[in-house]
Amino acid sequence: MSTYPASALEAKPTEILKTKSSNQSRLKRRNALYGYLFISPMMLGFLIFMAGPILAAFVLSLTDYSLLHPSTFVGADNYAQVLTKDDLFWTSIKNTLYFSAGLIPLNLGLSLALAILLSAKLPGMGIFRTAIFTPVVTSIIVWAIVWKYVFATDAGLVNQILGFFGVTGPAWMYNTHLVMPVVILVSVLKKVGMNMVIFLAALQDVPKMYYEAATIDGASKWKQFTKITLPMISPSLFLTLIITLIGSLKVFSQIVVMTDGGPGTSTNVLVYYIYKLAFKTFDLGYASAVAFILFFLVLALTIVQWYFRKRWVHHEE
Amino acid sequence: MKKALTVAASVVVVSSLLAGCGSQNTPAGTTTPANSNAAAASKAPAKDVKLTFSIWGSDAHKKMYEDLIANYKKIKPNVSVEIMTIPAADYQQKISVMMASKTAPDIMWMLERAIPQFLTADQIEDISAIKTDAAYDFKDVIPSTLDLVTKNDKLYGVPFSTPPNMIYYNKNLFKEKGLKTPTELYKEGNWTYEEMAKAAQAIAQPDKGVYGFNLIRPAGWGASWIESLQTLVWANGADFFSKDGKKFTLNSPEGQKALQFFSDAMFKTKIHPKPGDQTTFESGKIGMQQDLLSYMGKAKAIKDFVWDIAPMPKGSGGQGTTLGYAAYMVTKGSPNAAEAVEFLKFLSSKENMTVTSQYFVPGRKSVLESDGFLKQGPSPESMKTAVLDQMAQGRVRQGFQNFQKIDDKMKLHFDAIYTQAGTIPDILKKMEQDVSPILAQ
Repeated sequence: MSTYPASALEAKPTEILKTKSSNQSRLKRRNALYGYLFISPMMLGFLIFMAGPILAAFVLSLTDYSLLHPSTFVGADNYAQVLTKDDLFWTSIKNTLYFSAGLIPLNLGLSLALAILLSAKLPGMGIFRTAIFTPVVTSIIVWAIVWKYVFATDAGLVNQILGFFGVTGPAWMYNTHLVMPVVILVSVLKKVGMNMVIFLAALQDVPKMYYEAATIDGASKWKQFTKITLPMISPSLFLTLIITLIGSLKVFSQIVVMTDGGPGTSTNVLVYYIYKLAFKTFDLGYASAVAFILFFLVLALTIVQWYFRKRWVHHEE
Repeated sequence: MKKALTVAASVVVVSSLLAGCGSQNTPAGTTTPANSNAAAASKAPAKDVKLTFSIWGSDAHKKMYEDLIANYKKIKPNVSVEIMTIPAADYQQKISVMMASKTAPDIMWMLERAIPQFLTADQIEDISAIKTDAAYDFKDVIPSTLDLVTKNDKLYGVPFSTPPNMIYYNKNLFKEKGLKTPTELYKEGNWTYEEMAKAAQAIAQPDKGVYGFNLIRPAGWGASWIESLQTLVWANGADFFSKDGKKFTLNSPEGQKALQFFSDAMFKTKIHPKPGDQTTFESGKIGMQQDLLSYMGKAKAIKDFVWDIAPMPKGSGGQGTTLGYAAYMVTKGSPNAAEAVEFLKFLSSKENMTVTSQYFVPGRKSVLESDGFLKQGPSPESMKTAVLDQMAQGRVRQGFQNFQKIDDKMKLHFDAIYTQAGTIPDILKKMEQDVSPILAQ
């Protein structure tokens, strides 16, 4: 290891004796320079692989760019068409919101319940925690393929179990009413471990003395939960809510693997719609416009959530 | 001075880090530049060339090509070929994207419906020169199979597989019920969709997962409308689109009848597997299965029962026999285009088309009419009845420049049949409203 960072950061005493203020600003400048240098790999990567393409996508959204013909500038036509003429876009919005509305309460409720159950200090808890967390580190594609087989019409596990009880199982993936609940269930089981771990950590951070005091005051378990646990873990609750909501708006992989947006348009969610426009029918310009609408949607939701955060989160450092 | 040095040093550190990240990303699958030292040493003028060849076939097909490639390596030691398998369902989409990003394979299998898109976009190499190559014997290629790959009298590909669809049937199931087999009915001239439904009714035990017939080809529910149901539509005297491809024509009494037959078989009489059902013919639970010659490899592995092949049944509009279609094509603008054309010639030579004829109905007359080809089936007679005799009246499915968009909408409305979201006439009406504007574009 060379010693240049250390010697460079050390200000020499003789220099300090000179004009103090100009030296300080020089030190500052130098420090800033090193700072920029150290973040430059990350920043360059971000600029080239994130900011650049995002900007390019915005430019594309103003054209009718397609892989099949040369593109022309169309201004805001794409946006106008998406918002006023495209029924499938609104169906996609509806489907996405349906997915979110199903996923978020289930996911948060289940992960909190599991966290409370598994925070008990009993032998073997580690095994359960690991078991529930395992799907989180599994590839979503593998997960979705396995569940697709579980819900298969003929030889699927679910229908075979139903058959065992003399019930002919439905064609899960070919029923417009059943397919979205199935996708939601599969997504909840995949992600519930992540939120559970966050809640576990939060629960273990709640000082025990509050509960002791509450017990002495004769508060019931339910009262303790609503008056102590929930307020104390509200920052984690808020964090998981935002992560889960934004994640649910971006649902894609399980849709591609399990349903292909079908049957009909019943699981045609927003990101899948963008993918289909861009890479199946090659309308990249139009797809970019829809993507930007999704971007603004997520942005708006996040702003709203941050605004409400003040009311929700009682305890935050 | 010292400061300048340290800054310079850290710039070097950072930039070398970046360079290190970047240099790992050399694009795979492109030409490997000839090692100049080795070339100079051996004085070989031929550059090392690495071709990529994309297929949507099975592992068995891949294995067959790998053997052919090993043979090619003996003739042309400097050329190596890498096979890229892309699932059929994603094939056109993936190749389109690769074409746009200039990473397309050098030589490709191409499906009939994808051909117009790539020809219109001018992405396929003109290979007309092979027509005059004496050794290649181009006259042997059946002329009618060349229509799709010819544009303005220029040749853009060579078909290697033009299989008529047919019925694979489980002889044991027919025998158990004392039924006449499709082959027998065909010889009597009574092989119709009604007879097929009757036989299916006798065979089917839906509660046990045994079905009379299955029109859907393996894993074909997604692309069912064009992959599996075109024949039924034609056999009923209907068609999806007008001949010029500008109008939607399925919303007719004949079209209704075809789809009603299919829907009833699934939901009413339950003689056809339900949507999403992947029961295979190999399992012995399907009486009759529509498929192509390429399924023969899998069928030959069946040990539990005896099977045979027969032509498709007849409807009011004839048999509607559909020819599958796949051609070899070379990507235009590939730096290895010349080598790729040579490889295409090798693959479609008389000798090698004989090899591939174990799975693919060959486009060369001499191979098609050879005894070797007839021996590929369960018996030479059934190969003749179910394959050779059907080729003359078989039709290739329509191709479209914007097939992907049409496909997208058609799938949407066929899902409505599968989910029983409406009556067949209603679904057809909606289909017409939705698809017509795209066809008119």
